[in-house]
Amino acid sequence: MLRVSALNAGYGSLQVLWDVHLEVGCGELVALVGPNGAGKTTLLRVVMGLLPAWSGRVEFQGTLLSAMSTPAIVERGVTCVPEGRRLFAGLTVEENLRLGAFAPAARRLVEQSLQEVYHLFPVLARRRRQLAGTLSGGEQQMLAIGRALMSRPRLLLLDEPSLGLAPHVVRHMFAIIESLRQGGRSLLLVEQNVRRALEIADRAYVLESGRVVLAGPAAAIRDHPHVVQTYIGRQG
Amino acid sequence: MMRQARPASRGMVPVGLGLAVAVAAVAWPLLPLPAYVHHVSVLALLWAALSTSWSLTGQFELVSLGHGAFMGLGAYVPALLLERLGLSPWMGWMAALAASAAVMVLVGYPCFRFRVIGDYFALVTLALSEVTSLAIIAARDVTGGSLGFTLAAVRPSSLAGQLWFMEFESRTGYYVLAWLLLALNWWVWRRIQRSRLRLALTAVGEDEVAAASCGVSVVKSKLAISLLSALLATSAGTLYARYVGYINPATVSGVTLSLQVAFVAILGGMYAWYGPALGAAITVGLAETLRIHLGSRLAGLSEVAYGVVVILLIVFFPRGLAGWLGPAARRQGVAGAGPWATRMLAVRARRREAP
Amino acid sequence: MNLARLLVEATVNGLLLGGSLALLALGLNLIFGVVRIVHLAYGDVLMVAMYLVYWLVAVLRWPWPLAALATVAASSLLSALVFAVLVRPLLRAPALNQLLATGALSVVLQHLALLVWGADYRTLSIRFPVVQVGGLFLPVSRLVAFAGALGVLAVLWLFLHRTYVGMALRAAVQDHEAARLMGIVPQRLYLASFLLAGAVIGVVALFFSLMYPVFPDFGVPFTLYAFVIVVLGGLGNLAGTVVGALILSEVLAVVGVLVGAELSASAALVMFILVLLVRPGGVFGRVAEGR
Repeated sequence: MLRVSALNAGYGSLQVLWDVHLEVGCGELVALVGPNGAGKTTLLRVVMGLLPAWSGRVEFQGTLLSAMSTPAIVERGVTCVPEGRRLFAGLTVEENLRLGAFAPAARRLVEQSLQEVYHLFPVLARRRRQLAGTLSGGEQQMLAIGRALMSRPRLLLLDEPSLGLAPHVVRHMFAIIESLRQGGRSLLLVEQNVRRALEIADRAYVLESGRVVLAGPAAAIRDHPHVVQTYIGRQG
Repeated sequence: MMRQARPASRGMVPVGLGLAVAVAAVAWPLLPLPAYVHHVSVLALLWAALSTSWSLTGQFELVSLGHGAFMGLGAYVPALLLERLGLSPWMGWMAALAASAAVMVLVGYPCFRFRVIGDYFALVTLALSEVTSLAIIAARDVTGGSLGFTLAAVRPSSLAGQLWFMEFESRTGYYVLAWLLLALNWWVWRRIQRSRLRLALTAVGEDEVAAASCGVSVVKSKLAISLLSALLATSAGTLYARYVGYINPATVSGVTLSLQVAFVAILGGMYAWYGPALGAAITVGLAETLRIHLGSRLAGLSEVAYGVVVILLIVFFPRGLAGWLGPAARRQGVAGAGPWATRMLAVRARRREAP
Repeated sequence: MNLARLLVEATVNGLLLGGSLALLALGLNLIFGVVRIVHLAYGDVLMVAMYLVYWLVAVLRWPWPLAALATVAASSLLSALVFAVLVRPLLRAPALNQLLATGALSVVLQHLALLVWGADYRTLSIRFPVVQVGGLFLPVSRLVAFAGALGVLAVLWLFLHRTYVGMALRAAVQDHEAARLMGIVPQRLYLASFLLAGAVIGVVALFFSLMYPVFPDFGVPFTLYAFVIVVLGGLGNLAGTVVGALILSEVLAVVGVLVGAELSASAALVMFILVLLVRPGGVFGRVAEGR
């Protein structure tokens, strides 16, 4: 579904990604893990067209994304829940959600999508008229995910959805993420919470210093000595 | 390893260029050109000084549009002190410098302290220019308001007297003073290029927070360069008023003047020492030519033409003529080098920490 | 006693002017917030629109409703033209270049007006009656302008809150990149904000034509006033903009009565400097993110 091949990218003269290969199959949940500053967010930014690739290809269902603008990519069915949520804090919950369905095709189904998101996150329905900036951290993350779902994406990129959340909220969040796979939707999950991410993922990539150092089934990655030692620790 | 852009090489070209400028400067007044051309060349020199002083801050992404305030103080304070108290313009100049420094600190310190940056700093300083202009108009009993102010003529006969009252019988006196002022601007420019301040300010321009974390005193660095720039602009104002003999709020203060100064520097290229002067020569020449050929026919036509030319130049030569002439005159770091100054400072800080 | 009545009258007049100023500042708030450009020719577009009102109503003797429609449409188009010709090529240029280009446009528009209409003050020379309310003399022109401004503000509010384009504009003020992630095309939004601001300018030009004569430099202070209000009210903050406009117009009116018109303009600008120093994000707004 998503195929990233031989990708090089960076900021200014600083190269961040080095010859990255990555694939997400249909209905798959793929985890992308690695330390801070490894280039995970940069990779998502390139996929979303927010940052130009220096070389290499990003394809989605056979079409080349690397030459497209962000809005065009969203219209193709790829959406991103950005790092730090990036909600429109001064807009209401419902306005945030409606903006998620800005693309024409999604806008035709906006009422239906709205009901689906409210069904998935009942708390958002209760707070629909509240300003997004007044929500709690967990609610904000739900809103960010709900807003992304409003465009009815076939591929959803999630950037650190558990960041800054309380432990019991994190558990809830991972349960939600697992449920998002229903209906053949593919997910690419960027996470620092490596253990949990590998528990729910089908396959995983480990990105270090801009290079993919490990790739394979999540179970195998989880047991790999390097991963155990660096990311999971003894308790895993 | 990280790539680091090296500072501009100090090769033979700048030395040769400097020598050529010096020879031309001495020979120019001797040329049998129409008096009008010599008059315009003094104006161009004053504009060169003014825009060079502006580019001291402009090249560090510190966009101040307050030159209308400082030039205005430089023009009006000595003029009024001469008129009212008979003080020498040199003493008036000192007073104007003090006034400018006070205004700069009063506005600059809180701005830099509270991180008023980018567009907002430009707007604060723009408002400062407009306030100065409005204040001059409002104090019309003293300043003559928007009708302007004709400077008192002392007509001293001896050379010493002429010097003392900054009032010369021949244009050459002003010409020499204008050159000295421009040379002073260039000297300050050069000193800054070789100073620690340059690295600090470049880093601040790239990222204030990162620069501060590398040990740069953001407020002090910005205040230092802004003060230098303001004082040099004040000096240009004093000399301009004395040379032209008549000032009004629109010619030495206000929004349009401030924008004009910045434009001259950008057009010439504010990352090279000769850029602003080049811009001044071109714009003063252009404005005078348009004024002669169009201004006499229809009021406003020459300004329209000038404005259109300005817009076209900004769209098509965004980096200025000097940037287009030579790579050394371009801003370092623009062509993909990233925040080189911040990185260099970080490397130095790390080295200091290392045992 | 006399001064007290003058002050009360000035306060009421300030309030009445505040409506139009709020509209004007709202247009600039959209441009500054969405496109992130310092549009120094903003007030000059207003000046051109006022000349247009003068030309249509006083010279060509068009009926008012038609002239009003034509003015709003033309000023909207002029604003869009400014975007397409001047701003779009400079979107990725340094902020300073954008500022200088719009500054140069301001000079061009002023002197074009000088060329076409001369330096004379032009008025519609419609005589409005003055009504007496509780001992105060109020010009009907200002009352009409105030009521009209309130109506248009309400329409604008509905537009910004009830339509997709309006929501997208508000979203883009807050977070450009997130707006792109929603599938919002920035370029279209820029054009929309310039079109909308142009229409608002057209409406303000109609109201101002009832109150002021127009001349080539008319727009200059209003550019700065609009920026003062935007900074006071905060980027993207509609309610803050209205309050900011009222504060500014009161300062202008009251200081004007006490010490004179030029000093009232200076006072407004000094207030602006103080506000920027204390709250760069606006008195009623959150602190704006850096560019």
